This record gives sequence, structure tokens and C-alpha cells, in this order.
Amino acid sequence: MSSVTANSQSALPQIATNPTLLRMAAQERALSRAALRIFSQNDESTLLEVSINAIASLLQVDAVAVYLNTNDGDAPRCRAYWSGGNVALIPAEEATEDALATAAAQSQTPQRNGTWTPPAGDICNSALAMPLAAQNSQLGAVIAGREQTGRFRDDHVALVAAVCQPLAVVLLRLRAERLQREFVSIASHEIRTPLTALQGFTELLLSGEAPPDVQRDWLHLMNTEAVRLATLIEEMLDISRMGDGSVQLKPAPIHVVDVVSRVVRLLDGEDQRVQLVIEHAPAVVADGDKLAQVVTNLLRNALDYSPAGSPVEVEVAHRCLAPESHEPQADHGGPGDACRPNVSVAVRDHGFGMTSDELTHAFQPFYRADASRERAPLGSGLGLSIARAIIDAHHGSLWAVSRAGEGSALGFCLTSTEEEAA
Amino acid sequence: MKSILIVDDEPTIRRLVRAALDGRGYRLLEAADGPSALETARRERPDLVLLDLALPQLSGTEVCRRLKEAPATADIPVLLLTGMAQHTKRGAAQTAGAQGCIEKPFSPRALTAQIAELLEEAPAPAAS
Repeated sequence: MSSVTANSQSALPQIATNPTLLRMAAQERALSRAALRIFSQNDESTLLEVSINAIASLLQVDAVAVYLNTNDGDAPRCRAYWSGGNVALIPAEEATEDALATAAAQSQTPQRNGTWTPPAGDICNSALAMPLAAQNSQLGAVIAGREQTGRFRDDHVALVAAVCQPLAVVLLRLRAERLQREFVSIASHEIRTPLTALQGFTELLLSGEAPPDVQRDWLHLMNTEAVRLATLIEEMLDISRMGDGSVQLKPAPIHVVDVVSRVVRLLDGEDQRVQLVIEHAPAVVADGDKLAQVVTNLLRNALDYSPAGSPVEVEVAHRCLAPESHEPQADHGGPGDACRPNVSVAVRDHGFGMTSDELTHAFQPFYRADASRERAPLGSGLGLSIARAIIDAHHGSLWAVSRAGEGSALGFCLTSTEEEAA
Repeated sequence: MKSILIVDDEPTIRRLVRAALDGRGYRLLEAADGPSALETARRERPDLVLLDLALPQLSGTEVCRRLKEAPATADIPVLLLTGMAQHTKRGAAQTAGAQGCIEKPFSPRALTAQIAELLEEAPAPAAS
């Protein structure tokens, strides 16, 4: 629009009579109005409705649909579509995938080839699938379709992109806000449990009815719960600091073997369950204290999630230790050519393991697999989230494999170069 | 002797409730998750269920709904324990048929008073 207004004095008579320029100006106005409306949305449903209507009014199309994923990398599913002038919303549990939307989302490039079957209405002989992405997060795709054949033109692609960009930014903002609300809600619940114990046992103690040995038991419990509360608050602060990037790593050339050995000495009990397997690995540039926290969290999980006395293996190597089929918790290519780390650490136990469902939740804040609640009731469920945040900050990758009843293996790879370490 | 089923995934909270109710002439039963709570309720037919809302696997709301749906357990009064400021969840659970609600952190004295009140109101379970 600026180019039109800048020349408006001299070009005005020409514009007034040039239908192409007039149409373009009108389109620009409509686009900026649409973008403004999109940016002002605070609710996902209305956001989708506004965006779909914007595309439908800017382009001659017969169908429009928005496909969203729930996690980065998942195939997106149809959550809203336009048909016959109205926008229909699809609840998450009824949403279905679409090959074209998946192709656009995963390639991160607009797709203009092939036909498309919209959620409602006739098959579209011409379709344009536009990826939705913001700040390196894949969110899904938007598809516009026409019954009539013929590829969508470049200016159509630009129009749809101009709607998809603000849509993706607002979607990401709404998702972040939702995650934060969930975190606060769960955090308040987790804090209330030790608080309930402290308040409850205090009241019982003050009533003075219990015999002295029972009172002493209660005091021990209260002490444990107070420590738990302090740890919980400390870890929640860790997560929130790392989440907003305000934690400054103190990188220095270190030998990961030293860090791992120190943690093992601290955590291994009298029964010496931990077996340390060490291969020479070059120094890496990393924050030693933060890496120690990661190894501590992984090892503590392994010890807590396996029967007393069963061995836990900690391995440090100059090659990728991730098994073939791991749950990727970062962009980890797995063993072979994809990952050539300078150092890799693996912690393996022969414990209760996790079901595939538990494994997918294992890195979510506050998540604790059922087996741990009775055995390690003091775990906050934040250990793996913190580990992931620290490894992410080191541009490394964290991985996990587990089988219920057989045990788990978790580890990370760091790739900082030897030159950096020198 | 009236029996109370304590359902909470946190061992410390079960211990606290047990300590609060100890010596008051109740038989105390415990369950750490939804499925075993339902199982124990069906088998033992307690006079009251004290139910935490935030349970893993099966939520407290769902446990309450299933208790109220099954003829064998429908008459057992349910007292909810809520952790979060989860008014919507509590609303759902009350719709699901719970008789009362106590918010964490709670006073053991208030808890025992509310339990005593609910047990007095409740008709003695029919001998079958």
C-alpha cells in the first residue's frame, strides 16, 4: 500500500482509471485489515474462523481448511474448514489427517500439485497447501482449493502466505500461553501436597494427643516435606529461568568423564549398584555444573525406577550411544552418520521401564510414571524437563528408550568441536 | 464400625488422613489410584469415600462418576479432596454426585468434622 500512497499526488488520475491498480490497492487494504484482525485474536477457534474467512474473501476458492498438529513433527489434523460461507470447527479427537497438508507441513514449502478432498464438499482439482510455521516451530498447514483445474498463481500463493504468517504467530502465542497456564495450575497443585502435610501434621502435633514416638515420626515426615517443597521451588525456578533464556551457561573446556564420575560417587549407595563404563572422549565446551545436574537427574531416575540392588550402567563414549529406536527428544538423527558427537553419555537400568505412552510424557513438566510415586514419592517430575532444557541450551540432543518391565536407557550427545575446546 | 476409603496417590496425604482419623472408631482403607479405588469400593462397600481429584490414569472425577453409576456403590457418600484451584473440575465432580469437597491444604479438624457429619447423615447401608 505504501508504494501506492507515496506516488498518490502525481499518479492519482492514472490509478483512478487503472482497474488492475485499483484492485491491487483494494486487496492490500483487505489484507492489512485481515492481518490486524488475526493479530487481535485471543481464542484459537475464533482465530481459525477469522483466518479462514480472510482467505475465502481474498481468493476465489471453493474450500479452505486449517490443519494443526499437537506436537512438532506430528502429522497435522484438520481442525477447521470453510464451506458454503460458514466455518466449521472439528474437535481434536475427531480430527483427521490429510496427505497434502502433511506434505506441506513437513517440507515447509507451499504445495500446488495434485488434487485435494476437502473435509466437506466436492473434490478440488486444484489446491494450494501453505505450511504454518513460526519461530522454527511447525504448526501445520492451510489448504485452499478450487473445483476448476489450473495451478494457483504466484500472487495467490503470496496472498495465502500473507494470511498464514500472522495466523502462525498468533497460534504459537496462544499455545505458549496455554502451556504456561497449565504449568502454573499443576505447579500450584504440586506445592499444595507438601503444604497440606506441613499444615496438617502441625495441627495434629499442637493438639498434643499423640504419643511422643508418633509425634517424632510426624516431625520427620514434616522435615522431608519441607525439603521437598524447597527442591520443588528451586526446580520450578530452574525451568522458568531456562525457559526464558535467562540462565547464562558458563561454558569451559571440560572432560565429561570427570563430571559423570563425580555424580556417580555422590549418588551410588553402599550397595554400589552403578557400573561405570568409560571410553576416552575429547574435552568439550560445556557448563560442567549444569551437565552434572543432567547426569544427576538421569541417574536418580534410573536408581528410583529399578528394584533395590539391581545394577545401573553409566557409559561415557566418543560415539553416539543412542539405540536405533529411541524417542527423539531433540533433533537427534540417531546412530550412524547423522550423529557424530564428541561425547555421549548413556544411563541404563534394568528396572520397571516405561510404556510407550509413559515415555512420550516423560519429558513433560511434573510428569511421573506411576511406578515412581510409591518408590520415590519425593520426585518432583521436573528432572527430565530440566535435563532437556540444559541439553537444548548446549545444542546437544537428549534421547530415551524404554520397555515396560525391562528397563530404560536415557542419554545425551554433545557435539561441540575440539577446536572450540582447545 | 464404619469404614472409610482414603484415595490419594500421595502416600504422605494418606498418612495424614489416617493420623487425623486414627482413634475415632473407623476402619480405614486405602487406595493409591482410580482402578484400585473402584475395586476396593466394590469389594468392601465402605461407608464413605474420601477421593482426591488429581489421580493419575483415571481422574477423581471419573472415579466418582463410576462409583455413582454402579448400583453397588451408588449410595456411598463421596467427599472430594481438591488440590488445584480447580473450580470447574470440582463442579464436574459435584455434578458427578459427590456430597462434599475439601480443599488442600486442609485442617485435619475440619476434615474429621465434615466426615462425621456426612457419616451421620448417611443412612446405614442396607444389610444384604
